[in-house]
Amino acid sequence: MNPKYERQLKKGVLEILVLRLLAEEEKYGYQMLNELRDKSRSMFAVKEGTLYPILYRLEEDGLVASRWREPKGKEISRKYYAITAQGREALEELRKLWFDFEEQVSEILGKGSV
Amino acid sequence: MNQELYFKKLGKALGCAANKKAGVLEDLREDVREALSQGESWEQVMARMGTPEELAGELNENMGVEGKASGKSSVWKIVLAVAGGVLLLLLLAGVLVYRSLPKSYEMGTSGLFDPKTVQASAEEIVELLDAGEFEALQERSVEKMKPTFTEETIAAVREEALGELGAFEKFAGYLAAEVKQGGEIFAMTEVTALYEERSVIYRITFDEDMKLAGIYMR
Repeated sequence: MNPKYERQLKKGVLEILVLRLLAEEEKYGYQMLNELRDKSRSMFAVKEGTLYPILYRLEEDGLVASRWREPKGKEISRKYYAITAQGREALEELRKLWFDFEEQVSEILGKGSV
Repeated sequence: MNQELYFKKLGKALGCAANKKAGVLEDLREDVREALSQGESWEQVMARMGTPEELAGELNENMGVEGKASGKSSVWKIVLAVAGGVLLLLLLAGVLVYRSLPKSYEMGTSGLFDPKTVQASAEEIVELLDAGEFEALQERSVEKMKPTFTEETIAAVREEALGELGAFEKFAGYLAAEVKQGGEIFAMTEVTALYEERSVIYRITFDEDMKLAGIYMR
């Protein structure tokens, strides 16, 4: 299979996943990369080149906000991304859409082998 | 490649606006710092992120901007491309003109022609013309020349260009040279023949196989 199809399919859900990760607490880029990889058993092991543009788009749309947090003690200065109120609304809508989406797609594809 | 060079190359290849670029680079630098502080080596980080060009390509694609192949601005790139195109055309034209200009050498230089054979063949061609031996002329010509040697064309050309010649008297002059043109070598001869009424200069050209490649008379 052309890996393009797989990439294309995964790409569409990255925004929801990023919003969901940020719904727990504010996070920095590297942390999100690791969480995405670990929580999805590597299915969403995305690279910086994919993650950051998503964060920028979400920020432009007002769904997330970023800030540099002053380092505490030995910590290094980091840029944190946090979900906004508008982002929470969008996440809720997208979550509903996803479950509906998943149900309909599975309905068509069928659970058994083709 | 060290980090400094990596980020320098990355910055050059990023297509977004300068203020945005600074933000992207800052995010990535922090990312790398974080990775290093958590025990990843710079080599591992680089292997994961890809080459600066690959990473920039990904970022550009995902941000919906055109990438830049080099650090030069696009206007300069266009100017350079146009200048390059013009220069290339001039060079090509130069090469074509140079190649099409005949270069002449002394007969016998290439070793492809025997001067005596060339002279004898040239004079023979004149005799065949005078005798109206068109089939023999066709046989001795390159393919392209064959249609030229029909009684009608030759008779018409000679009549029109030269007028009445009268009977052949003798060969009065001979010149020969090798001419290189377009990668091929020809033997070019000028045979002067005296007739009762006037003299005629024949310029007769043979290719490497001693086939008649051109004929001109005045």
